[in-house]
This record gives sequence, C-alpha cells and structure tokens, in this order.
Amino acid sequence: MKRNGFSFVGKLAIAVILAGAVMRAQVTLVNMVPQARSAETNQDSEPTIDVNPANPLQVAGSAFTYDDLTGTKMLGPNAPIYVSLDGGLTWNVVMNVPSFAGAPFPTGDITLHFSETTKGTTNVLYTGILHAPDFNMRVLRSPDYRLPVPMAVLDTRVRNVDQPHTQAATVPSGPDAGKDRVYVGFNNGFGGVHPQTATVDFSLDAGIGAPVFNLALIEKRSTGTGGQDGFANVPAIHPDGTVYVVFYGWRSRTPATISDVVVVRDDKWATGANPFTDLIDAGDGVAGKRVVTGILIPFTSMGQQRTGASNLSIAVDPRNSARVYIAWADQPKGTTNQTLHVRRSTDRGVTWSNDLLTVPDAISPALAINSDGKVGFLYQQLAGLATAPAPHWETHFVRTTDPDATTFDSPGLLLANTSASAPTPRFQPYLGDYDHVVAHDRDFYGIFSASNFPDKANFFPGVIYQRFVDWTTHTLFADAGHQRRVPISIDPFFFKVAEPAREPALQYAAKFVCGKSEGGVVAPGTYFTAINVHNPLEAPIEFRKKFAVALPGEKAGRVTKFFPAKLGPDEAFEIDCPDILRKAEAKEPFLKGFAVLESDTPLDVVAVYTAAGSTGRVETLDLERVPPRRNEQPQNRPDLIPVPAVTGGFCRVQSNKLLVTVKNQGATDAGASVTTVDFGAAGSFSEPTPPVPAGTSVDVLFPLPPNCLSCNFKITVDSSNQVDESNELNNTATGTCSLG
Amino acid sequence: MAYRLTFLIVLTLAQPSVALQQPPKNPAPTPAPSVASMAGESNIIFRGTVSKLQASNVDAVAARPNTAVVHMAEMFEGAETAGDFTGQDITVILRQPQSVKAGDNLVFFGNVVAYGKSIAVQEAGHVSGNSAASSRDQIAQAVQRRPERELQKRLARANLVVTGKVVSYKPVTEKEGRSPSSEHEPQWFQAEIAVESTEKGTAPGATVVAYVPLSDDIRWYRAPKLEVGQQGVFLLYQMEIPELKTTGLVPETTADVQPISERDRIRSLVKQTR
Repeated sequence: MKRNGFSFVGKLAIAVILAGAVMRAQVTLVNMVPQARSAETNQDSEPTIDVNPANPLQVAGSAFTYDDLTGTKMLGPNAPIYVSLDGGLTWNVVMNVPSFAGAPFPTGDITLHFSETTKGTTNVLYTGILHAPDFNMRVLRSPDYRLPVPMAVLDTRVRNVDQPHTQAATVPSGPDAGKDRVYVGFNNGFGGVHPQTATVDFSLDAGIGAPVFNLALIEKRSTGTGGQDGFANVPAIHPDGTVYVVFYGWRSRTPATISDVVVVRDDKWATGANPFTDLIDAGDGVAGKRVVTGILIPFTSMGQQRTGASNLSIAVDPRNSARVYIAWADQPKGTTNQTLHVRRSTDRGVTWSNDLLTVPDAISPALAINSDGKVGFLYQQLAGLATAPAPHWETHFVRTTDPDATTFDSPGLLLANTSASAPTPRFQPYLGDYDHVVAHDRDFYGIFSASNFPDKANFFPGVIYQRFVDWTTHTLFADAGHQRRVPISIDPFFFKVAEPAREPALQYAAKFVCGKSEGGVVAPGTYFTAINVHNPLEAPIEFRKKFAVALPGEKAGRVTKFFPAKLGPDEAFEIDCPDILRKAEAKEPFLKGFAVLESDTPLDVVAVYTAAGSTGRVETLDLERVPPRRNEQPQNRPDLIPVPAVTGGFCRVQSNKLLVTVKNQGATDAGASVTTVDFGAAGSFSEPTPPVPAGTSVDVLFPLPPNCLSCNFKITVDSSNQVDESNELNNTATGTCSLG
Repeated sequence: MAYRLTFLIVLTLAQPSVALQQPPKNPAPTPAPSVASMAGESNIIFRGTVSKLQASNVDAVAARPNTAVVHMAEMFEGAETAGDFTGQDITVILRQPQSVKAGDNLVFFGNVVAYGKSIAVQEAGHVSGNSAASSRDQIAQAVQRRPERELQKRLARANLVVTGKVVSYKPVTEKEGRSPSSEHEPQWFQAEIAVESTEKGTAPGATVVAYVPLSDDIRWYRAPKLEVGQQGVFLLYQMEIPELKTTGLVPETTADVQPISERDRIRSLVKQTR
C-alpha cells in the first residue's frame, strides 16, 4: 500500500523526465571533408572519433583516407587523421599517421582515443593501426594530434593481427595517479597462428618514453573447430579502474561460424597477475561471461557492405562502473541478413538483460553513455528492401528516454538516408566494418560514413558541407567557381547531439535550524534538524543537495555547491545538523537556512525538528513533510535574430561578401547553428554559425551571386532549427543589395 | 642556378614537424639540393609570391617563425593529386625560418601535410621564381621521370621479373567452404605463368607460379587481378604467405604487371639497377 501513495507522484515525475527527454536536442551534422579537398574522390570508410576530455572543441577522427585526392596510392610517408578545433563544425586533414610512400592503402584498421593527460593546450592521443603496407599492428602516440608530426610508435605486433580497438584513460587518484593506461583489443594470430586469439595489448604507463606493453589472452575457452576467435575485441574503461572487453568467442566454423559473445572484466586496471579474469561465468566457472551463446556470424553482403567483420560495441556508465551495455550482430534463425542486439548489465557483467533493442538488416553498432547515464546507440540499417525500387542506407542515432536507460526512442534521429548502390565500391569495407560514437559530459559525438551525394533530403536538416557544392543541381565541385565537377564518393560525417541543458525535474526545500541559540532571533535553546530522505522507487537513484544559509536582518547567507547523493531501491538516509554545519563550513554555533534537494525522480522528504531548553531535554518535536516543486524555466532560452545595419537594412558587404550578424538576445547561450541566405533563383547558401553566448553577436559571411546588381535575399538564422529558442518567430529578415 | 636556398637545416621530410615545433636558431649549413632532387621528392611544385611571413591560413598549422602564406601563381605539379590552388593563398612550412622575404617570387617544392580551408605544404626547398623558365625544363624532366624512378625502385626490389603469359589461374582451395579467418583474408589465387624470357632473377623453370590475392579488401584491392591468356612483364616478390603456410612469388600491385610493350624499357631499367 505504501507504494501506492507515491505512484501518481512517480508517474508524474517520470512524465516530467520524459518531457525533458523529448525536449529538442541540438543536432549538428557535418561532412568532414575539408574545403581544400573538395576534389577528393576517396572512399573514406570505417571511421572512428574521439573528443578531448579536457576540451570538447578539440575532436579527432579517422577513416580510410589517403593523403592524396584520388585514392590511388600513398604519396607521402604519413596518412591523415581528421582534426577539428571548433567542436566539429569545421575539419582539417592532417598527415601524422605513419604509413609508407607508395603503399596501396593509407592504413589498415585505425581507431583513436585521447587520454586525460594534457600536454600544452591539448591532450595526448593514442592510436592503434594496421600499418601500411605490412599490416603489422602498431600502437601510436601523439602529444599534439593537431600537428602534421608523425605519431611515435610505442608497440608493434606481427603475424596475422587484426582490428586494434584502442581505449585510453589516465589514473585519476592513488599511487599511480597521472599514468596513462592504454588498452588495445585485437585479434592476435588468426588463421592458425594461435588457437585462441582474443587478446588485449595494454600498457599501464603508456605516457613514458618507452612504455612496456603486455599481452593478455582473454579467451579462456576452447575455440573448437573455430580455430580462433572473432575479429573484434573491444574494450571500455571506467575511471575507477574497471576495464571491460567484449569479444566474439568462436566455437565452431564448419559449416558456418558459431560464436559466443563474451565479456571479460578487470577491476584494477589489469594490474594483477591474471588480468581480465574478475568476471566468472557461473555456468562453467571460467573467466569471461558468455552473454549469449551459439549465435551465427554471417559472412554475407548487404547494400555493397560486407557483414560479419566487426559489429561489437561496449560502453560503461561513467557514473557507475557496474552498469555496462554491449551491442553485437548475428544472423538469427529464419533471417537472411545481419541483426543488431543491445543488452545491459547492472551488476558488473554478472547478469544481463534480454534485448533492449533489436535492429534487423543493420551494421556497425556503436554505443556511448553520457554523464547522465543516457545511452546513445548509432547504427546503419539497410532500408527499403521490400518496398523501394532500390535499398538505401539509413544512419540512425537512438537514445534512451527513461531514468533506467532501457527504452530507446527508436527510430531516433535519422542522420542520413543515402543510396546503397552508388557510388560503386572501390574496396571493402564500403561504409566500414564499424562506425563510432562517444560521449562528453551530456553530449554525444559520433561519426559514420555515407554517400556524399549532395541532396539535403538525404540528411538531417542543417547538414553542413565544407566541400564546394551546388545543392540545387546536386553536384559536387572542386572549386568555388563551380567549374570542375567531382564525382560522388563515400565521405565521413561528424555529428553532435547536444542534450538540452535541463534542471532536475523536482526541487525540495527543507528548513533547517541547527545549534545553540542565545536568543534574539529564536528562543534560547538548542535546536536540532534531521531531514529524512527516502527513495520510493525500485531502482537506484541519484540526486543532489545544497545548503542556503539564512542570516538575520534580511541578509542573504552563503550558498554551498551541490553535493551528489545516491540511494538504492527503497533506501533512506538522514541529513542532520552535523552534516549541514560541516558542508556549510559554519563557524557560528547557530545556523538556519534551507537544505535544497534536486532530483529527477520523486523523493519522500520529511524534516524532523526538535528543540531542547535549559534542561537539555527535548521540549518540542515537529514533523514536516516537504512537498516537491517542479522546475519550469520556459523563458530561460536563447533567442537568435538577424541584426540590421545602422541604416536599418540588411545589405552589408565586406570583401565582396554579404555580412550577416547573428545576435543572441536570449537569456542563455545558443549552441552552434546554421544561417541561410536565400537569393531566390540565384541560389541559397548556408554557413555554419558558431555558438553565440547570451547577449553577444557573431558575423557570418556569404558569397554574393555573380552580377548582383539588385539582389533580393532572405536571411534565416538557425535555419535548421537546431537551437531551442524562446522565440522561434523572429529568425528571418529580408533585404536587397544593389551593387551595380 | 640562382638558388635562394642557401643554408638548409638538418631536417628530413619524415620529420616535418620538427620544423613546426622548434625551428632551430642556428641552423647548420647543408648543401642545397638540386632542382631535380627536390622535384623528385615533392608531390607539389608551384610558383608563388610570399605574401605574409610568420602566418598561416590553415587551422591545424599555427603561425610560427617558419610558416608563411604564399599566393600561388602557377602550379607545375600536384593539381591532380593535391588539388589546384592556382590564384589562392596557401601556407608553406619553411625548412628554414627567415629563408624568404615578403614579396619574394619563388618556385616551391614540397608535400601537402594538412588540408583545411586551404593547404599547408612542407617545403623541400625553393628556388627563385625569376629562374622559373630555366627551372621549368628541369622540373618537367624530373616529374616525367618520376614513374620511371618508381618502376626502377620496384624492379630493384623484385626477386623475379619475367615476360610471359598466364596459362592457368585458379583459387588455392586449401580452405574452400570455410568462413574467413579475417576480413582482410586475401583469397589467394594461383597463376601459372609460361615464361618467355627472364628479365631479372632466375626462373625456376619454363613456368612460374605466382600467388595473387583476389580479395577486394582495402589491403588487397590494388593487387593485380589476372586472367588466363594475359601477357605481360610480371614483377614478383618473394613473400611469406601465412594463410598458406608457405612462401611464394607475389605481384603486389597493378604496377607489377606491365604491358608487354614495356619489355625493352624494363630490360634497360633492370640493367641500370645492376
């Protein structure tokens, strides 16, 4: 019966949370090929990405990109990575991955990851590659990923090695604080070199001059007639030292490849004598939990992309290392294509859910979890198999919508919907054996490859191309003058999903009175406050609390920072006067004010007040149930507008270009957006617009059509509707330029 | 030869970054490379005017003492592979700071190391643009000779070069019906080549067996795909083939199967490599 009393509040709170979840996230989608490579026709497939944890404006990406524009052979000794310095709005290509001049490909498989170690103005980047042309696995390090400086080779592994999946972290505290730890899951010695091949190459101090790398064989079972493990071995690190790895444990290979999906775990950074053996499967007592057994790995092709080659992903909740999600691909009975599955564990991999999500006809699963525990899942699905004249690749990004992160907003964001038949593949993988997504704080940053055919209908609204493009005729050009046409090809696309900043849904303000009063404000005596907090839900919750001191004489006292708090299912705790006095850093013997609790889920908050007089014995007792207050801040939003010239018009020309000033007159900062100027028949131009802090402006330049003797135009700020504004009706302005 | 390049610091193209990070204050003098030498190691050659010193117009390359923005006037080499930037400003990472002055008209030799809104070129060297006319022939010759030099390098590395005809071409069936061990599995085919003449090395007999990967994986898609009856000059390299647990002769790329009309030229090049 007790729970019934809270069911309505609970539903209300969850409804509030869901309402928050459907608030518009700001989505940025950018074709990553830089403007200076507009003539590029490479097949830039199989991308990965990472964000500098110390500076999210710094983003690194990789793909099968040559140093030249035609993808025939490597011209120089170094292959490129993609470099952004503005959070992904614009991209550079920088040659710094050791390759080989004349090599027929730039690198084999490549993945990259920043550590938390800052060198100068950026963080150390670790990269795992299959080196061209020998295909040896190399672990690389760059102190500054932005520079065209060859990365240092830290480790080399040879003889049938494959798919280095690179993760890095820096020990945050303890005796090893500051050490970079790098874990590269890879397939070591396939094809008969070793009978078990699921392996992690790791260093416990990768930041030093000559780091030591160790091999850990993580497959502890027989691979039977499989003769080896699957190709992908993917690690995930939690800063508390927990390291998970997921891999395909092959069990037989005749007549088809049958596999388990296995998760191993190490609880202490793999520092022990037997690394990655902390998760024991209760079924056979062997290290490595078999999440699913006996699945069929399909080696087929769909939409010109091979299947079965990678298709594993893992992500650990940054708030709690016990919460871990995996995704894999298999071919269920009765199907002809590959199907993706997402499952999760909340007990460090010991037990696993059923499928939280199942996606048929899909490839390249990629998971990430943000700082709120929200799960993002990227995949590419072959759609239109039965209905459309030609199947097409849909790139989806779905996110969880519930506090427990088990329900996805499928089909989520449709980032791209591109041809599955054009362009013609040059090689496999066509789109990639994997794509990638990571989280930084609340935001998700992802990367995928797709046809660059320039049709805005194929992409999420507001897509940005750095290439020279004519959107009207759907043509790529090598030059600004649109004289040299460029054939379509596969390009890497960056996306960012900025979760809307949202205050916790519920706030509780409980009065506290603590300490010995000599009188004057309240009666002399000793006052006690005990604030009892109960979690009425059947799931663990997190919330936060702060203390606002109230001073006599209508003076405001100090307000503490928020302190995090957790409660398990049905658990309760008490905030009492010693806690309050300590957290408020009170020097006074008597303190009054409010304890403020903020939570996304409902709480039972009951304050108990007692007071003792001169006898020291309780003389008053009072209980107060503290009601929740809903946070609503409808006007607390940015508001973008086009700003006219002092003359009142909008024709302002600078360097033969139209100057548009975008102002944020709202109360909060605006994220990145897109501004569009439509010259009617003379064309429409869209330009990325950087974030605009509240009360400030930015200038954006647009090309003027040739022979602009009397050009009418319409300016639209936030033309792709990326910014959730307090006023969406003041985004446009019209003008005329007469330059004759 | 009116070189403006007087003192070259000890830097190699493999370490362009050193110049980016720490331009030396007192560079040691080194001999100026020839136009042919610079052209041979450069994928982009252009004439331009230095417009701004210690500047950059590429985000990834910070302005430093050894960077300059150059307005490109004409492009001799690299438009196809690096893009045509004639008439545009680009960034040059100089081998030596202060080796150019604003307004200098120079021919630059180098390689593109970064792309953004423009390009950054790591300089191999430069000569006066006023001598462009006299340099142009040398540049053209050096550029024309580049494919020949690359072929010469391949010939020097090849273990066996034969002129012949493919008489059989079939899969190596060791693992037929089995799923792949790797997505990069080469899918070996075996080509039997009837030898008409041996240009380098010693053919084991009247026929030679070459192993050719049929895979379209990124590692192998540039490998030649042969067919029965195909004639040509075959450059073959002795390699370990772990999948077959053997060593064998392999043509690596399409450049290793030359048309038979190239035989005389290849013979001449082989002689030069000896």
